[in-house]
Amino acid sequence: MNDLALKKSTVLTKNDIDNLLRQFGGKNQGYIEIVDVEKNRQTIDKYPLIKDIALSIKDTQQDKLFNKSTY
Amino acid sequence: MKKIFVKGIKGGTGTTSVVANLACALRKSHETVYVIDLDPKSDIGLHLGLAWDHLLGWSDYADFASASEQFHQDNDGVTFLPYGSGSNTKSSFKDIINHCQQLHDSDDAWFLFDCPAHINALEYPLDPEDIFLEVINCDAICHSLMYKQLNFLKQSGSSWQHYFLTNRFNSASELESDLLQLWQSELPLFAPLYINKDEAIMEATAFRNVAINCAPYSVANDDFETLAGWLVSRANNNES
Repeated sequence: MNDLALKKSTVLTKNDIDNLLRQFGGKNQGYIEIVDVEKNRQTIDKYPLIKDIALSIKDTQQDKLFNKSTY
Repeated sequence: MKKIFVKGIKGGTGTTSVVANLACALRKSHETVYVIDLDPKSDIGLHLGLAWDHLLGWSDYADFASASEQFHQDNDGVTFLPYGSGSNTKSSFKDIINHCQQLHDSDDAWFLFDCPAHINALEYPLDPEDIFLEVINCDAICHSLMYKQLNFLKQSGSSWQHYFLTNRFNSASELESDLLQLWQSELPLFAPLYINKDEAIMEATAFRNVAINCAPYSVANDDFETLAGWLVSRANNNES
């Protein structure tokens, strides 16, 4: 018999999102963005050209923060 | 009117096929759609059923009024203006863009401009409500060019809606999957959808048509319908 109390969907509910926002903080908006930072770091390290560009961007952004949300 | 400029970040990204398929996807939603070819290679007509040996377009006329006779309509009802052979050097792409705004039924119409890769977005007469799609492929050169372009845009203080749109994404490629994931999470101005690589797009061109007509159950059809819907929502945000 199916356990109806168990949520099998992988889709986050509003309650899940609120809990994540409470735990990690974030803007007051209707979605959260989950980023696998470690995977991104591994990808950058894996390809020399991508790593070169990432390092250059990091250098030029020491003074002015390159913020995705400003675009 | 809603103006969408579509340009490859470099040559060969598949911009023209994106424009042709997007135009037909919008048209199937009963929108009025104009496609203006600003690219000297002048091949938008090949996707929309124009004869291969038809060489004339707006660049062969001295002014927009006389060039208007080169507007054609495909079977879906998309109205398009080819670039032509460039025999009249008085015409400029900026004049054509400005004149398009004077077309009598253009209030609710969509104008899709197929832009050449060698002219930067900053050179177009763009209004704040215009949408500029820069078409990319999932490769390291596009990665490099996007970050350069981001610097240009930041320095120029661009006010229009600018997005990078991935075309021909091959999910079987490890490099492409790596890059797409990286871009989706870290790259500013990255469109939240992409066009998958699909043989149906190339096959459709060989049949002088577009994928959403030749292969209505294809991945390409879904992708272009999704793109059209997303652009409608972007344009509606502008109007509200």
